[in-house]
Amino acid sequence: LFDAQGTVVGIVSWGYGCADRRYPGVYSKVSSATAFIRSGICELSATPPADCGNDPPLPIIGSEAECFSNRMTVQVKGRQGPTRMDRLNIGDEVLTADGSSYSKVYSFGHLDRSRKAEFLQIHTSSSTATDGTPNPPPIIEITAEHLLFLHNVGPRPARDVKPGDYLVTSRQTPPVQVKFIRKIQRHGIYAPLTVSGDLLVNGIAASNYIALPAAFQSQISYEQQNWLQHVSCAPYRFMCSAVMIDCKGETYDAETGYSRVVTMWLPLLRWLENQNQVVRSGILYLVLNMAKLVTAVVGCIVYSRCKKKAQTPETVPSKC
Amino acid sequence: LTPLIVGGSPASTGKYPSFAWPRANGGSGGYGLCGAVKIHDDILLTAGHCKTVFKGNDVHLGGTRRSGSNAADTVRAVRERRHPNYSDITLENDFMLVQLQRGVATAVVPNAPYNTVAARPVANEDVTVIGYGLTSAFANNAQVSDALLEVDVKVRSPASCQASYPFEFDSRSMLCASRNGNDSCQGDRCVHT
Repeated sequence: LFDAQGTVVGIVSWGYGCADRRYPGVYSKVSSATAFIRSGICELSATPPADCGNDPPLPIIGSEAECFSNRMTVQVKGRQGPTRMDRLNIGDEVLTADGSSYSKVYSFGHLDRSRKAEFLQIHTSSSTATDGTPNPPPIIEITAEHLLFLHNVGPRPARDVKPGDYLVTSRQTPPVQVKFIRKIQRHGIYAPLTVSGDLLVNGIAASNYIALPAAFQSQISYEQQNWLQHVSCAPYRFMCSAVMIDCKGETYDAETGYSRVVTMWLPLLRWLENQNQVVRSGILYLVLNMAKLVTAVVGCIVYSRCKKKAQTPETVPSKC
Repeated sequence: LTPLIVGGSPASTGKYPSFAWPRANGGSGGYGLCGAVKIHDDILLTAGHCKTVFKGNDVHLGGTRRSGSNAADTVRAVRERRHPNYSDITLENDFMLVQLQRGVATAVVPNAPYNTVAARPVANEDVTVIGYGLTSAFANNAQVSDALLEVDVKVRSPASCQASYPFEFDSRSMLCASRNGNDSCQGDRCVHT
C-alpha cells in the first residue's frame, strides 16, 4: 500500500469479501514495525547501513505480570459468543471451570490496558464439538507464573506446562493436549478474580491465582498455594460480592497495574519470603491449618442452618 | 481472510519499480499472490502470513509481468524473518523481512521508502494498493493476473475500521482502507484484499 509520494505505508493483510465500505481491506501498519524493520535490516543484510548499532536497545518488558492477554476470551452470562478480556467488566458473570455454572467477576487482581508484557502462547490440539464440527484449536495466552490445571495432576504454573501435557478444559469437554508453546509480547494485562476462584479462558480451565515465589515451593504444594490465595481473597471477595458493594470503583497501582487489594498483601508475602525456612514452614503450617479449621467451622454452621431450614417445608433448601 | 486483489487496473511500467514477488507462488485455490517491496539492497518487506512463500524461491524484482518477462532482476531468497509478535490467529503485526542471496543495486531496483511516522497515513488519505490478483472473485474459474494491478483506495479512521471489525481490528498494528462510494463487489471490477 503506497501513499501518493510512493512511500510504503501498509502491507496487504486481510479482509472480508471486497474492500467495500462495510468491510474495508486491512493492511499492516508499517509505522508500527519501524523497530522490527530497522533491526532486521541491520541483522540480516550482508551490507547493513552505516548507522546500525546506534539505536538504543528496546525497553525491557516486565515479567512480574500475572495475567491473561487482551485476546483471551471468556463466556459471559447473557452475552452471545465469547467476550474478550478487554471488554470484560466487574459484575459480569463468567463461565467457570465446571463448564456449566457462572461466577461473578468481583475484581481484577491485575489490570493494565496499555502495559506490555510477555505471555506464553500455549497451542493445543483441536477439540471436536458434539455435532462433529471441529472447534478452532484452543490457544491460551497466559503469563508464566499463572496456574493452569494439568489433567490428573492438578494446578501447575504455565511455565511448567510442556508439549504433550493435557490441560483440563471443563467438566463437559475432554482435556486438550498441548502441541507447542511460544513466547509472545502483548499490550494489556488482565487478571479477573471470580467468586469461584477459577474460570474458562478460551475454553481452557484456569485458576485466578499464581505460583508463589520460589522460596515457598518446597513447603507447600501448588494445590495449597491456589487454595491459600483463594482464602486470602475471601474478605475482599465477601465485601465485593456477598455484601453487594460494587467494587467497580477499585483502583490499580499506576506503576505495576496491581489492584490496591493485591498491593496490600504483597508486603506480607515479601516478608514471608525473606524469613528462614523453619519460620516460614511454621507460619504456613499454622495458616493452612487455621484456615482449614475456620472453613470447617463455617461449613458446619452453614450446614446445620441449611438443614434446619430444609426441615421447614416452605423453605427452599437449594438456596444453601 | 486471505489477501488478494481481484480486478483493479494494470499498473504502468516503472510506476512501482521496487515491487517484488516470488516466481513460484501458490496463486491457485482462491489465494492471491504474496508481494513484497525492496527496502534495502538485499532486504524485502512483506507480510508475516507469507512465510515459506519466499524462502528458497527465485524472486522477480521490478517490472509489471508476473512471468518476470520484464523484471529488472531475479534473485534467490535465502532467509525469512517474521515479526516476533505476529499472530496466526489475529494477524496482528503481519510483517516479514526477506533476505536475498545478493544485493541488487538501487540503480537497477530502487529501495522503496517506508513510513516511520506513526500519525501517517491520515484518515481519508488517498493510497494505492498493488499486487498480482485474480481476474474474478470466483475462485473456480479465476485466473491469476499476469499484469501488475493497482487500485486506489482511501484510508479510513481507526474508529471506522473498528466499527467494521469490532473484534479483529487492532489499531496499533493495522490500517484499513476502502474504495469510495458504496460499491459492494458486484461485477468484475472489485478489490478483494
